[in-house]
Amino acid sequence: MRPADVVMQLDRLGSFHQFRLSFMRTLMRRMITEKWQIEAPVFDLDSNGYGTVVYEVQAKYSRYSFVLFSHYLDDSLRNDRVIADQWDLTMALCEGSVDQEQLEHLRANVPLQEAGRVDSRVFVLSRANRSARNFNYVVDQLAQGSQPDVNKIAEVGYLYRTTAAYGSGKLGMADWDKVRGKHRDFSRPFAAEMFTCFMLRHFSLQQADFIARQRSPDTAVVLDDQIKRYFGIGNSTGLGMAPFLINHPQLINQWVEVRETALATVLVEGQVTDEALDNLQCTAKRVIQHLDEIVTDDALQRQSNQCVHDQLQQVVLPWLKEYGASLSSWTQLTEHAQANWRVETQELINSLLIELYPQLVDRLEEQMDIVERYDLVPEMPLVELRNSIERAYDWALKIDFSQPQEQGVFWYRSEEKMEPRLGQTNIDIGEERQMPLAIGRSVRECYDAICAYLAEYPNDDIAHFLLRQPEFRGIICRIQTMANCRYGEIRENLVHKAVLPMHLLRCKLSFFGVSKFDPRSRLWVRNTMFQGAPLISDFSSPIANQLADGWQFPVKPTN
Amino acid sequence: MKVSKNELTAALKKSFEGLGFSYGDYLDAAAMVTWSEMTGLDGLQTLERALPFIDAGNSQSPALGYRYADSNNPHPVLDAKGASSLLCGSGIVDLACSLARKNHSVMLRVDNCRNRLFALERLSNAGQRGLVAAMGWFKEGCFSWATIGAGQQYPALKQFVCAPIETPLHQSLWLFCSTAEKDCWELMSAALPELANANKSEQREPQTLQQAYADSLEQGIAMPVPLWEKFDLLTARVLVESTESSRAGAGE
Repeated sequence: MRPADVVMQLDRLGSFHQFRLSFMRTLMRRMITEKWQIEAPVFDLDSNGYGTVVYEVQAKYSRYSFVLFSHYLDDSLRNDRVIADQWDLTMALCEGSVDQEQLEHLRANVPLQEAGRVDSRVFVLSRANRSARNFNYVVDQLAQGSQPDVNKIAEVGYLYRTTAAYGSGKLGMADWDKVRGKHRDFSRPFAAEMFTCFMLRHFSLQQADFIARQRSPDTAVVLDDQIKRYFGIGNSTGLGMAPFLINHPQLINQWVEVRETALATVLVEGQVTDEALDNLQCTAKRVIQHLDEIVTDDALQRQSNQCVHDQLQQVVLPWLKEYGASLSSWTQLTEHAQANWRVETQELINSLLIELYPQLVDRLEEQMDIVERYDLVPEMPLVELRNSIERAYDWALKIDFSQPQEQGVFWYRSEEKMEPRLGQTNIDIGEERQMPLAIGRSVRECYDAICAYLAEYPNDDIAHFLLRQPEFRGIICRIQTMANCRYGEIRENLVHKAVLPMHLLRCKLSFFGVSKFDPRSRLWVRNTMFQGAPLISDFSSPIANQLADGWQFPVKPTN
Repeated sequence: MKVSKNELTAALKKSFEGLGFSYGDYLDAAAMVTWSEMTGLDGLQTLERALPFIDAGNSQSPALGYRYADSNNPHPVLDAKGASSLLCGSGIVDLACSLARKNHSVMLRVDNCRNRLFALERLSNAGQRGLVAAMGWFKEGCFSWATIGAGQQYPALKQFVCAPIETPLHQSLWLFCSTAEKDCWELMSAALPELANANKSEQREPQTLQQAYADSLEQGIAMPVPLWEKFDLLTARVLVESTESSRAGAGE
């Protein structure tokens, strides 16, 4: 397994790509292999597509309802920020069937999102905004009897963008512990949120067909299935996601460890057969096309995509052609990549290698969850803690926090919906209320205090140290807990002036399974979910299991 | 209104942070209150009564030292200096666990400690860490006694009616911790002869607390709206004014 000082660097974490065990991928396989049934007993839309839809979902273990409200929203009011208060679509995922009384309660509260309250029968709340230009174009084409041009779809790739999917017990919803224990179909991290986005995608396609038919019943056609699969759901992710990775290091450790275990397993046990080599080369070619088709306004992202594209085409594929047949192990490929190719190319290859051996890695998908527990070991001698910090937090001890750039920014919560934001030290207000996300700095302060204390009390344990200096309880608890984790701790200064939170966002999004990153700034990124994924109508197809995988790195369908 | 465990914990963390609790303290305090409420011990009501005191400049963990009582009772005695167990409970239970692991068992007395109910969550934590533990305290003519076995998750609770005792022990907390089964009640009675004539008035088994916790998880936690609004006000202390410049700090 790769060491933490290689894996847990921000730029590498930010170069992770979706992979076989990403949450969307696992969910899709489950829905198909378990033959989930999804119907819409309530499909009550007016001719413009506004109204109420209730989908009933019969999964392997239980029944659920996905309730969606479609509202008129003026283009001028559309806002993707978490501080918005109106949306085109609002939706909720609920346990069991929904009766009229519950439906009315949902109708009164779901459209309000954070301003409303739901109850513990609900476990995901979400909203989405229309990609107006794309949506109107698609509906117009369908109404006229034509399919939309895939080149135009490729510019955006979705009809709606979701701007948040709340779970984990917010706003009166079911607590994650309840969902995990009671709803086995969604007992993996973010499975319910991913399912909500999948259903949103399904609705978006149904709605487009519906409106076109309402507008021109004589000429309208439905979207071709191939084109439907090419639509995903847009996602807009900002800083709100970043603190999660810092505040849940045990969970992040679990995710990264699963990914690294999958990779290590493939490197040790994956036979380099002609078939595997051929699959790798084919997928790499598809990735090249996929990168070619990404549309983004961000110059840096365009440049990065181009570099990876060129490296795959001009370096990696020729290398595989020349040396592939003589490889005895994929380690020869990954070691060569690490020594010679870009970080993003390395991580792309890692994702592609994991893809080759489902029989070796799929068993790991149930290991993404962990019950987080941060416990102090009070009887540990303080000198042992000091040694542990020197071992596991060597990166933090190397930082000179007296240098202004090392504390150039601070993280805080805004009064606007408690949205996390980044402020500049000594420039922006709020520094005294900053969030405790500067883990490296906290470790450093603790370490210095311990060293000073040990000079006077060399034989004391942690319990006695904390009786005198209780302010270090939190960080010591974290240090001790994370000493048992290989990964989890991001080994960089998160309050450095030049910190790129984008890497944190991309890392988490890669575990979700998204693709096509389109940064809007260094703090905010659009991306696409479920593009290329099977449709609900594919679940009953004779080739459903084949469709369950193979949709990653989607490319334009041929007209 | 009802809230989930996670929602309550998150609100409490921010509220305690707004009160001035330091990082580790507000994490622990939030866990203590949530657990006390979910197990049916009226943690929110206790918190509501404690808030004015805590908000009056009593939101920092005191640095604690301890002394040994007289030679007839050689157990450590700490002075919490009037602090809430929301602030000192973790440190005290951790000390007990550490001393128990070194010496097989320990009995501590903590004087001048408020809101001692909340320390039960820490006791539960000690049990889950493989220690036998117990704690007792006086309040309004009753003596509360909680015990937990090694590896258990929920304590058993008893209340005894007994004659009032001399201050300041009325504001004390007794804590026992051991690596093996021990008759803690015998030790408690030896330390407080007043308990010899105490009559048991109430008892709750671990299963009762466990069921209450499970019910709270399933149905949500009943949250008095005025208290929730107080949490909002305390949380506002940790939020920063939004300006055009600060909106740029989220990537606009």
